[in-house]
Amino acid sequence: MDSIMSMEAFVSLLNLKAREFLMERNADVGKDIISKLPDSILIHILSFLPIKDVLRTSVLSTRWKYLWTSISNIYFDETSNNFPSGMRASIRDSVNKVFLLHDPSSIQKFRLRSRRSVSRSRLNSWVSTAISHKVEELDLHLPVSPSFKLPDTLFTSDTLSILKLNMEIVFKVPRFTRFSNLRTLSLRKVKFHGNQYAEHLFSACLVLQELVLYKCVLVDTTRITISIPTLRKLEIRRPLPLDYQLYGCCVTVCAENLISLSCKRCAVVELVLSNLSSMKDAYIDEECSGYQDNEFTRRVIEVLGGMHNVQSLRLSYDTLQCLAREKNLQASLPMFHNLIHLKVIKKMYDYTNEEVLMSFLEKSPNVKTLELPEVWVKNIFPQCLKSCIKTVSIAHFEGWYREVLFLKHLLRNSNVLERLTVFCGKDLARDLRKLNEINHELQAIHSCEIEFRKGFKRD
Amino acid sequence: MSKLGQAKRIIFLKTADGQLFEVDEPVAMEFEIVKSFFDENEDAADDTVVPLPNVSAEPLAGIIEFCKAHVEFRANGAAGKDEVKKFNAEYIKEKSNEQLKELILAANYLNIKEMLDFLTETIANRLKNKSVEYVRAFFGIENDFTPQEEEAVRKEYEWAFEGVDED
Repeated sequence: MDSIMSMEAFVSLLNLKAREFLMERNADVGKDIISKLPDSILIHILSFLPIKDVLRTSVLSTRWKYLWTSISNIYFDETSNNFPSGMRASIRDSVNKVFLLHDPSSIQKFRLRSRRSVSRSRLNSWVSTAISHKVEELDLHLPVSPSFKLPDTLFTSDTLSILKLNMEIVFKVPRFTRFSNLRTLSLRKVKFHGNQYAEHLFSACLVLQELVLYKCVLVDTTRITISIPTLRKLEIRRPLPLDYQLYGCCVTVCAENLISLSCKRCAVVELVLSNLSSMKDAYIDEECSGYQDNEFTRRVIEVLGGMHNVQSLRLSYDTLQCLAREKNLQASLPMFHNLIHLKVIKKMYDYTNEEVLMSFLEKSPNVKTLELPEVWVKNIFPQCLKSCIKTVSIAHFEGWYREVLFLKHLLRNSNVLERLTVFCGKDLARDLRKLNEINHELQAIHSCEIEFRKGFKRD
Repeated sequence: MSKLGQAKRIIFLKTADGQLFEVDEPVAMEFEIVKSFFDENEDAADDTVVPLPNVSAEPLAGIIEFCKAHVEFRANGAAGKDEVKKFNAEYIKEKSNEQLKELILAANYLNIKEMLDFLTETIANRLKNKSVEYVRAFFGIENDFTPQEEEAVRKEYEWAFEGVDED
């Protein structure tokens, strides 16, 4: 008995020794790691962290105390929920210090997001410092006074590649503006007085590839031209002519190299698409409401006319609904000869007009891939379904009787269909017996590949 | 793919713990240190073994796996696409903090820019909103501040120490 006890004691002692040995070794490994990594790697790690985490590292050890003065990215997001409340002044003083004490190495990215405004002089000095440190990405999203003026040096930066402004400022673009490296420009809620500032800005972007205009306000102007030969991607959402009851403003897009265009709620202005022959894909989401519906519908048809060359088109239910007002849709819709991929998008509660969808498909004689949000009710099938559609997907399917019926009709009418993908709701996905049954019935009609996937497809 | 139907060139690498790795040339050339070895020794024979005295076999195997995939992604024009993100996420998921540190040390020594970018970002993600004690333990940092000095630094950015994750 005694000898067994002492044996156990011996084993536990041994374990203890082994653990101590391992811990020592681990500590050694740790020590080695940190001493072997050069400052540049540690600074690189810091540069991926929000400013709060960065500043906390100053207390790690003396080596780390001032490492943060070299960080290349400054991410300050006051809206994130781990900022303690009631300390805004000292938080901002710290951020100020990051700019004041930054060593001469470059600042690549500066992102600032807040729900409260920052004093004009401070914001100006932060942006100026970022610019003088050769900033490549500047992303500002905060309330400012309308008269806030961005520093002049911003407008001649030759390092700036991405500029994102989400602030309600009157955007005054100085005459000497020249962005020789700006590839992405995103303006949200920015106000342009007259057309000259905006047009001057666009012409000063020598290599711009991507432009986002969201809720930009146009004051004192009825015409504006976006002419950017290098542009490849354009997204316009809810442009607001100041007196938007008039719907009188005309926005012309000239971008011969544009590949992708996205228009959302643009019909408040007259959007003229001219010379967009390179365009490959487009997205359109318009709604009709209010007394100007007929005018809206005409504008939507005009915009679709400018998109007639695309290979891929995403179209919302609302847009189809808006087209329903046109009495002679067959005559006014353009032909989409190049269209290969059509995706119809449904949001929460909108509904569609199936006749319009049919008219649309009749005008798209070469569609190969059709993505639908759900089945349609009437059993009418366009010609392209019979002759060229190879893949169909349904994003939302519960397995109800009428849905299954639709799929059966679809399969009977699709001569060249190769693949049908159906995204099922939770209950149906669990009900393997029912799925099997549906699959069996469908497969008896058509031998194409049929796949049921779990979960609705979201955009 | 090599030009003119030549056989694929293999580079021989030898780790600190004596293991020999045979690596396809385009993958080995991702390592700046190997590339400059051959740049400096232009007349090196094809079967020259490149010694890597600061890297052991385990992290090297991991690094080769990563670089091989990324060389292929680039060749297929998939760089920057979702499948790369998916591979990276999958690759790092099973790696412990210890392994991650071994990898970054090795990637730093071999000087592989793309992988370093990825590893530094991964480490940053693992340190986000973590306490000072956690970060010290992670890197094995010895605190060489006096308590008074540490207190002074903490006081300076008091707000930054509030609301961090529990260890």
